[in-house]
Amino acid sequence: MLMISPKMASGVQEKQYTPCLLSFFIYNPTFGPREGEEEKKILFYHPSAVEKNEKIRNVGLCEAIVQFTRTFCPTKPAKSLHTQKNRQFFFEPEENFWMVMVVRNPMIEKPNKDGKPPTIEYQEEEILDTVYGAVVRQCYCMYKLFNSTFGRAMEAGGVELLIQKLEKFFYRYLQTLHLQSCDLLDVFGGISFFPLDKMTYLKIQSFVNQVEERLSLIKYTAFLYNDQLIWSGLEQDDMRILYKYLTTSLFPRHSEPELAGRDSPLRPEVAGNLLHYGRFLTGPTNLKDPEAKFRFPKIFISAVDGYEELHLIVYKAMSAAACFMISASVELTRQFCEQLDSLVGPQLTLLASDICEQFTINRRISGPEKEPQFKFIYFNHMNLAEKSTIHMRKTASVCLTSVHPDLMKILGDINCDFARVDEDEEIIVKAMTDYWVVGKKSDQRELYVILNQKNANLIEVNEEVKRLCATQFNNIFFLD
Amino acid sequence: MDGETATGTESWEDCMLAPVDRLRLERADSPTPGLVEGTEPGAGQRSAMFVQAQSFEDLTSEAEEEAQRSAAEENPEGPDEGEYKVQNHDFSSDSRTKEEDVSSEAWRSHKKHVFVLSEAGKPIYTRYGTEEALSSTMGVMMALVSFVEAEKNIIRSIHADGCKVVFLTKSPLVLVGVSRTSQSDKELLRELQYIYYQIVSLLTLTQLNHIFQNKQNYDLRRLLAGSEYLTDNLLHRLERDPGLLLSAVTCLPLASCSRDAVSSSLQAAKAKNLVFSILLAGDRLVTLIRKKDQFLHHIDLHLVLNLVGSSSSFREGEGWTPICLPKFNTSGFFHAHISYLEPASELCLILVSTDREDFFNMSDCKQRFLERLSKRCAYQSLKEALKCPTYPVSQVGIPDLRHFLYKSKSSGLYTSPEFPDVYRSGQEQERLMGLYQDLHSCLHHPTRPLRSFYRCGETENLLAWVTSGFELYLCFSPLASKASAVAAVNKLLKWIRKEEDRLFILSPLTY
Amino acid sequence: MTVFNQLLSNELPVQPMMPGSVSSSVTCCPFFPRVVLLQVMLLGDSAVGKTCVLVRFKDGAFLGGNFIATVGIDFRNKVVDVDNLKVKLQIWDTAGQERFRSVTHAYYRDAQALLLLYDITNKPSFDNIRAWLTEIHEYAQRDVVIMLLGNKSDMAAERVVKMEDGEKLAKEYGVPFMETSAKTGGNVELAFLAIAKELKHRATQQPNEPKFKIHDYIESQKQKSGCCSLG
Repeated sequence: MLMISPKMASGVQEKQYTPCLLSFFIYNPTFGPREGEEEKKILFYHPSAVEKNEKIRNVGLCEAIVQFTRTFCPTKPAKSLHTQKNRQFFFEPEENFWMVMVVRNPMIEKPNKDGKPPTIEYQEEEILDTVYGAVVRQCYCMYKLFNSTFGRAMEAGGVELLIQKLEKFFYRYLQTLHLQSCDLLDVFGGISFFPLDKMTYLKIQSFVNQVEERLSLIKYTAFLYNDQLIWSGLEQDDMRILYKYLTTSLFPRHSEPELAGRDSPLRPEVAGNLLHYGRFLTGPTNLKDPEAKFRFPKIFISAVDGYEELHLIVYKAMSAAACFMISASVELTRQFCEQLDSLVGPQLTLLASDICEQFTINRRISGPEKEPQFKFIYFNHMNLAEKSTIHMRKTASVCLTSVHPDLMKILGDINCDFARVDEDEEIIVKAMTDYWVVGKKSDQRELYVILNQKNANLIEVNEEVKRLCATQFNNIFFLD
Repeated sequence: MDGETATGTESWEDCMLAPVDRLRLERADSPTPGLVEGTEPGAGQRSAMFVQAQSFEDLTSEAEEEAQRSAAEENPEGPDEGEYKVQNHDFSSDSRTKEEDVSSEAWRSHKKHVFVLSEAGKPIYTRYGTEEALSSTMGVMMALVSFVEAEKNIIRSIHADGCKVVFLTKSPLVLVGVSRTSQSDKELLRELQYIYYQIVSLLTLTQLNHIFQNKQNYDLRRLLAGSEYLTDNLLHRLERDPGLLLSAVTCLPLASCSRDAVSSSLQAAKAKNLVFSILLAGDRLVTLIRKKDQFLHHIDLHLVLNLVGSSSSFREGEGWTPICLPKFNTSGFFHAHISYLEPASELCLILVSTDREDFFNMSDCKQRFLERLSKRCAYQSLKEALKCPTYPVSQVGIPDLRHFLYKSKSSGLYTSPEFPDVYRSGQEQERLMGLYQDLHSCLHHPTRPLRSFYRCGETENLLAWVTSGFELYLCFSPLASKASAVAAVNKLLKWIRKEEDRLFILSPLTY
Repeated sequence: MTVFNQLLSNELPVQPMMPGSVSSSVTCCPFFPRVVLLQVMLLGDSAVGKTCVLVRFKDGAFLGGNFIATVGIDFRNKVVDVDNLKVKLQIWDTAGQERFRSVTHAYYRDAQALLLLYDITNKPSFDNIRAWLTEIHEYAQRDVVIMLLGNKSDMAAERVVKMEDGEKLAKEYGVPFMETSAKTGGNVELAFLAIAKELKHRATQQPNEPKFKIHDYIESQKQKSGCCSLG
């Protein structure tokens, strides 16, 4: 007979809830200044089913918090509100426009005997402000990438247009937020660069130059391989958000057919023609289709006099992807797309296999991959380069990490520490689980290492990290 | 000395320190190996003097949950309106320079504001500016608290760049801290908790509840008039005193035979209602005698230290004052006889009695103590020890070591050298304390505690280490290497072990 | 009266002799106690200057600078000479704050004399005197000696309570009155001495001896606060 101790029984039924999005709203306090008009302040509210008065109340609280904080910091606005049950993140991206994200704290539900409602324990220390603050800022950047600023919508079509745009964008975008797996990488919002030998790099550069020359409509180009950036003609900040879009939204959506395509050697419709795997990820799915539409998503990037509106063409062959950006004032035709397909398709296919080959050789030289004793995250604030061996794979839905979430949060804590002081620093901690975590900050670069060497001491840990720096980062870190 | 050298190379991460183990065998008869709580340097030999406080966490536990030790309870003095016939109107006569424009940049940029208000939103205390000028600000604070409460939720804190606001609701009071320091929310809450206990120690929680139950709108400043300086001083101490951070107190370095003589003299001067006898040298403990089975919580002791240290009114005569020790019992008053052994001396005797009418008995206890003390010649050696109440870090003999804090968890006592020249100025001292606070809050993180923390920066290198027996915080010169830091820990622990009977109270007594 | 007799005590240590003191004659006398012990309590609102008056009397100094609130009650001794008799005054300095009221009440009944102070520059402290007197009647001994003092008489420019008002109030309650200044020392010594004399006379009075009249004594000795500022 199976015996279950009472403790075990209750343990089994205990339910753990990860942090989740409770609400997300955007308001402008100047839009309904009079009493009774409060609803006018609200430009977007998710979930929309929330009762009107509750929306007004919640917006009112945010206004009060922001106003109250000004008593003490007139220049630095409130960024977050911590409560027992949730955290609210405030962001004022444009004057008087406030974005608020409310995240429920993770919680444990413990069942009670005698039919009493379960006890809920909120884990108030689990959410890192820096991480979720960055998520809100990212929400705005993503909106701006596809819609330009709130102010522009107001100019073009008043509040109605803005509300419409917000609805359209955030309704879908919020579904792609996966708050339970946000971590330090969201704070950095960095770009992963593909490591490449000089020769191959030059090949890519000349490819870009050639395409831009032949198709003079192209204003900017970016080149990626394996979801990692190799070349970009955009400003860093624009590339950063475009990169985020490509790697967490566009590429994952197309990864399935891509994988399938690799099994069948060639696209049937081009088999008799030029041998290439190239295809449009944005715009027409099939050039041969007489009904095909030649409409591409429009993006907004920063320009000297405000912003620049562009068509975004993403073209991919095997693991190589090229993004071409063309002024939105130009109408893109079938002819142009065919021209691009025939020019870029074969070359990109060739380049993709070149890079793949080169990459394999390099891997072989550096020796067989054995599971290292450490995992690390690296970020460079100057070129936004990031590298992580902690994250196994980043897809639209989940960001898989190979370490315990608590260790990831310790990395976040160390990052907060670094952010406070503008000087080089090194922090080495030993967690209760006996893992060692090392953080180094030097000249705009940050490195975080997790070592699974429970019996090592401080000196040994230091040696290990030294070795890592020497092999992976050419000793860019100051060492003692 | 072969054993010595071998143990010297033992890594400090191992949580097992051979020298300690060796000494432990000399001191205790339990053969259990390893460094367990109660055998660390500075651990008392008999029973502890203090409540076994789990340092930090303990502070957040509700005072009400604290086991009520009823032995020394006194009937709470529930104030009926009749008792307040004589009213004070002299808030303005307060000598603090609070006349500060609360809309000025200077007021805003204070490093740490603290506000206390009633649940009706009435101002009770502000660290800077006047309560009157801040009544609307405090009204907003209360509105925020109630608004979130109405959603069956609790407001904790607001964060802006470089500034945070922390809320603590302790019915019938609400405390709000606004800080520009890097301290964690948890640290700030701990400080607000201290302020709360400070107020309770003046009035008792029973009286507080009673007042606000009768009259929600009561202006508590009437009852707290003249006590603002205690809160001001406590806040100052929180910025400077490692004891408040570590939940521990430090002792006057004194040869153990002298300390024992002082202790037994004090032990002999007992009386029926006497619960605690505390002898202080400034902010340092010389000895503490307690009634059997009665423990003094470190928070209560810090409140006593704050009262004595903040007020020069005890200097001359013999003071007699009601005091509530909130961690002991929030509902009743003790009465404390407070006097300096000599007007110009640093030695202050505090005799805590349960009886309001006990003044002459306590005065008599003091006389008896003094007589015994001088008979045993202990007074002379005590006065000698007063001449060097601190020690320079150089005594330890570790070149790169600038400063350290060592707390023995089981005894609740800590030791620390004087601040070296680099940290002599008030500002630098507070900066170092800030660094220690950071280390402390990292190590004691509520959900992600750490075993050790090493930080290498441009101005200093810091190392912190917590075991089940002790907490250690070290500050090195920025040039010190990690290897030297590791070696320093072993050397320092040995030194403390060697000096422990001078730096700690190893044999605390009861009546 | 029995309470008082208990206080005629022999067990107190001999106080250091003042130059020119004739106390030896007292100590020789086998029928007379060496030292008379008297308990005096200072009362009044917070910040009227109770501690300053005490320090002026005890140490002849003025506590300038910041206001230091007395915590609870503070107990000090001072030995004075009254008609060649050593009188040891045990002086209870009390905190004016409301929250210490209960601890002061506990020691009211032990006091033989009460010095009740108000601040001539602070009207509420004067207005509260009636409340204080009510309290005194409730808690103190019936025959307690009370004296009303208007303190801070040196601060003429800030005066808000007229001397006549003080006098009038004192008359109404039948208690002696004078204005004092802890800063200049004006009348401070007199206040304590008058009380000591009164109590000493009560304690040692022979049936046929003329009664000590504290009012007359004060009137003959006290300096008007005006004198100082004129001089």
